[in-house]
Amino acid sequence: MATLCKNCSHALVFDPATQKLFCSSCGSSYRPEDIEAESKEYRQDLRAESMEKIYDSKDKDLMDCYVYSCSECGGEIIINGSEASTTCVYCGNPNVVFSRIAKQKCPEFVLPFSITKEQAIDRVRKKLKKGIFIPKEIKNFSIDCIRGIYIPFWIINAEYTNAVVIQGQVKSGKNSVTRYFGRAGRMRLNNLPIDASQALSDESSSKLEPFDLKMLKPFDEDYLAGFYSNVSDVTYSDLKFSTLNRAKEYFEEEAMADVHASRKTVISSQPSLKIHNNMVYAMLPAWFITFKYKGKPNTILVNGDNGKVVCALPWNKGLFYSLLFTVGAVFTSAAYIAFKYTLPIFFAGRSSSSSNDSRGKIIAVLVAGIIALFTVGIKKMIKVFKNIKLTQDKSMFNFTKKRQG
Amino acid sequence: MIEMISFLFAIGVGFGLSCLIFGSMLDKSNNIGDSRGSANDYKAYIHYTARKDCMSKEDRTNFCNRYYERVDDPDLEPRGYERVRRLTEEEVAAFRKAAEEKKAARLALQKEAELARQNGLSGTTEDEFKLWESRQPSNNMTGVFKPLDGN
Repeated sequence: MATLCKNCSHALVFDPATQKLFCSSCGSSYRPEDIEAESKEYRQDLRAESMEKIYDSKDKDLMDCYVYSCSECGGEIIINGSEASTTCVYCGNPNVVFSRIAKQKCPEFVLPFSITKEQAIDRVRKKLKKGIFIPKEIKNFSIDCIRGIYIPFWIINAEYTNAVVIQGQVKSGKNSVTRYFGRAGRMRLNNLPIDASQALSDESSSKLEPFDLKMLKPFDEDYLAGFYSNVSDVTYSDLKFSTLNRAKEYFEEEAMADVHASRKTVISSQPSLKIHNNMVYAMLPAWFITFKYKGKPNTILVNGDNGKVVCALPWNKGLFYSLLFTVGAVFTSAAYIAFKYTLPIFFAGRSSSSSNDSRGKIIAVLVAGIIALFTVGIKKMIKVFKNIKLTQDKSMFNFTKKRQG
Repeated sequence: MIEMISFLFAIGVGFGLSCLIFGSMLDKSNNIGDSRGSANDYKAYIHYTARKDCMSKEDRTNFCNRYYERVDDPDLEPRGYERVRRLTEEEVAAFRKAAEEKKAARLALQKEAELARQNGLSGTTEDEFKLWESRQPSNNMTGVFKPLDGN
């Protein structure tokens, strides 16, 4: 059901620019808190019915599909098991599935969209323009679909303890020694948002951070009008696992910084986590923009609160590799000339054993430096390629694409 | 020989540097917004309970077990397969009651253990002291091995 305009009974839509509900038919606007509560209560009885039940089918594809009736045209709206608001495919009106946000299922807070659809697209285009290796087709991409989606989050306070053993190298060169360091301690996490939607990967949703949680407003379903939304569908072990991973990452990062050594790795740890039961259920906003490039789906995320753009895009391989090899060849030639004239100085001539020793040390440092530089360069490339693959996630594309409207 | 070594060194420097520069450029150009909330955002700072440098083999085997501090309580947590949701007022009240009962039971056990410990550590009784005095030889050495009293 949608909240209707008092003047013309047309469905109202939340406008991020004015932070008011707007009627596209008569131009009236209302603050969400001014909409009377009685008109919302009776709608909680309207439920989405299982498609399996309605059509008496055992089709596996219909297992997570539900049918809801549009408040405007009565058309069938098909939603999945966790969608809380959507748009009617027939009349385009916003619909909120009230039974899914009733009473204890309802989030306590919502962070309304402050970035409009146009602003989101504009920010994405500006970001893409700056990319040297982004293909022209992507820079001038045509949007396949754009959806404003409220993602459910649990905002968590937790207590975390860990005892870790870190392996590291002290001193350098020939004198390098492996040492082991122990660090144990406790840590508190305050207001950590953990994505409560199974369909969206934690990897993608965590990149939307940070959200300005001071701007959270008490939940009102009118904020959902005109946007899509999901309700929480994670289990306690999912939530604990995600929190544990984040806490472990922060703990190890700080513990490693506390150790004075190089090439540090955690070789053993024993963590424990307690999630306090004062966690808060909130809906946080994001724009999902999808497009296809060379037949493959791509999704760009924009934080609906601060406009942060998150994406990893395919790169112009021809331009990238030609520049890499040209510049590599230029550097190689310059380095070759430099080495050709400087290395004979080290190898030529007879001299005392002490000066031979110092020359040997210089050559050893030089070789180690070159190997380190080459390894760091290759590792950097592999890391970037991996990151780009990770965020071109097919499940994220489906998360957006499968919505009706 | 020199030319060969120069060439190998040059390839290492040239392509290593090139990979590093273009890797960073590609990261900046195509991997947009690759960051998350930092430890600062969530005030996640460690309060250290143990720090050990240059650990021996035995230390590093036992360190995690020795300093492991359990904070979770599986009895009070929801079951792993349960969907996370807001509780109804009745459920919150029942949960609080159960938690308080559990806490009270635990405190009672602790108190019992504390009493048993106190009894076990209590000092010499008056009778024990008299018995000890009566067994002392007459050479006036009573101050040397006098047992500790309760104070």
